[in-house]
Amino acid sequence: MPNQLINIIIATLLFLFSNSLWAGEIESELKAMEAQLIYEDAVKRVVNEEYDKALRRLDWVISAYPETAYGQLATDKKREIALLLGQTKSISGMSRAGLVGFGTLFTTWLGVGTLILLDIEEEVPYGLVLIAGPLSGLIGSLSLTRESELSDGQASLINLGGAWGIWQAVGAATLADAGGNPTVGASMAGGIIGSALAGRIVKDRGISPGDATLINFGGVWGTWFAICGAMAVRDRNNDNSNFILGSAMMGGNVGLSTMGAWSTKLSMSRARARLINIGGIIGTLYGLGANILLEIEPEDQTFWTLMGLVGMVGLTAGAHFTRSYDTQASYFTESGVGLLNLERAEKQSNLSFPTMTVYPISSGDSHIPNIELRVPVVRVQF
Amino acid sequence: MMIGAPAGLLTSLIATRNAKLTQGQSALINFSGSWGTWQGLGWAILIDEDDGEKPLIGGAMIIGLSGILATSVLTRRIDPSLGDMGIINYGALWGTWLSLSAGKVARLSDGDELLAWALIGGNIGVITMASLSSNIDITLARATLINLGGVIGTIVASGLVMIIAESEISEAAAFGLLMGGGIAGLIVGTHTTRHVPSPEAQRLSRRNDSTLWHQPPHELQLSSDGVRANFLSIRF
Repeated sequence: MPNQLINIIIATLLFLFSNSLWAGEIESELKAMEAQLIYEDAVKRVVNEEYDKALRRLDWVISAYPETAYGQLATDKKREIALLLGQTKSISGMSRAGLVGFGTLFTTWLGVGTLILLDIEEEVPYGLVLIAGPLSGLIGSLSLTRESELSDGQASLINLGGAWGIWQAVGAATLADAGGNPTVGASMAGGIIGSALAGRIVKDRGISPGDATLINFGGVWGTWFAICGAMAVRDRNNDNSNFILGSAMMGGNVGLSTMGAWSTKLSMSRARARLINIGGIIGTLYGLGANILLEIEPEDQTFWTLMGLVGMVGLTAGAHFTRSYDTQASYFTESGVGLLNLERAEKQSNLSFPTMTVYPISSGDSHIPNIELRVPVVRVQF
Repeated sequence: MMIGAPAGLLTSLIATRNAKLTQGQSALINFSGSWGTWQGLGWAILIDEDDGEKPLIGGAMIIGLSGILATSVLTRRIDPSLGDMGIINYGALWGTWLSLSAGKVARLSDGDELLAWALIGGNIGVITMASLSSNIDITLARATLINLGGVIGTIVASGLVMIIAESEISEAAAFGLLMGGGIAGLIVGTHTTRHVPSPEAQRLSRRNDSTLWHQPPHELQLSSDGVRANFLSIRF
């Protein structure tokens, strides 16, 4: 009985007076562990050449854990990344494959288009062009991209420029009612001009994959909203095809150039740009669903107004709900993807503080329950 | 439509919130969804003699969803690379196209028979590439270039068909030529891109580029299960 009482007193005193000392020590150890985790994750990102994500993690270590050894390591690593970013890098395999694919098919089209422009009707020249075109396109584009130092974002925009040039040129020829041959010629010229212009614009500019995706979606949504607007205000008694086509072309250009101007300021990730785009698609589906429920026909102007407006709402909602997607909070505490969920981990680590367990009286003469003081220092799993 | 789209978005967001999926695993789930939908649609057309809409849509939905669920479970055990997924995807497309052409060469005229050939051929392509992928270390870029080789081969063969067409060529022979061109293009593509470094070689090259990327041999992980540490790390 007296021993039991002494145990209780010692345990209580230990708990009360040492807790604050241990807490401080454990807290600093925990901070060092967290800093190490984030630092090591940043290093992995650097190995995978995801420099933007690595820099965000290193910045966090520097700002939140400056007192740990990893604060200084993170500062040094940032300098190393800056050196690496300054070095020229050859084009990635996937970007090169994309450019080569577009170059090969477009060169083949240039050959076929030339024969159409020359009004050749025999099949043999077309056959020869189909044999020579892709091979020369492949060799040419492989040669052009061999020493290229384009980034993924730059390569994406050059491909977009080529495709956009073809669409704009064909659209312009159709608006001018130019006929078959001039339209073919316009598509050839449009592709060349678009690729060359895009190549000129992206030269020496830091364009991330997210920027390229944002610009691409800007063009697509600009075109769609312009179509909705033109359909909404069209005069149903006349032929409006040229008005709608012209609006679509203009709207697309506005969307493309607006996003081109904004993208570098937004510095958005490709994943976030895609999620915002999904928001727009869902909004458009809502518009379509609302039209069906309200029995509004496509001939009605309200149909297109609703489609366009709800699509815009979807894009806005997508941008709003993903506003913290590229921030530290998203990377480290909410998503739990990749790195650990530190928020949860911290709760678990709090269990490292001394805990006191009171056991019920089982038998015997004792009237005082057994008390156990437990101090888990660290749990190691293999 | 109004409930389905956001429900799909929310479900997939919640399902992937804490999932540690790699790019290859998510590509596998996406592929299985679209491939399952196509297979479900195709087999529903073949099985349903009345060509009703409901069995078609039902088949596409059930098989597509089954594909997503099956591969979601499968991704707990396997982790394909993006290159693996590239060759599986292209294997499916080439299997479908080549078997459709083979059906034309075999002078099949019935639409259902051709569809059955295409569906089976596509599956053969998927299975072949999936079984090969574990033995091949390939990048997505190389897989795309090999596919481009096949496309170029097919275009070149179509040029030959146009030249020969002057002296008449049967439909079976034309499709045979297209098949041959495509296969030759794929072989040439595979051969000429053999020097493209594998993903592992690229990783090693990046590691060896500089000592900047040296990681400490131990890794300490803090999670809800406790602290996990591996004190020994050996790299070959």
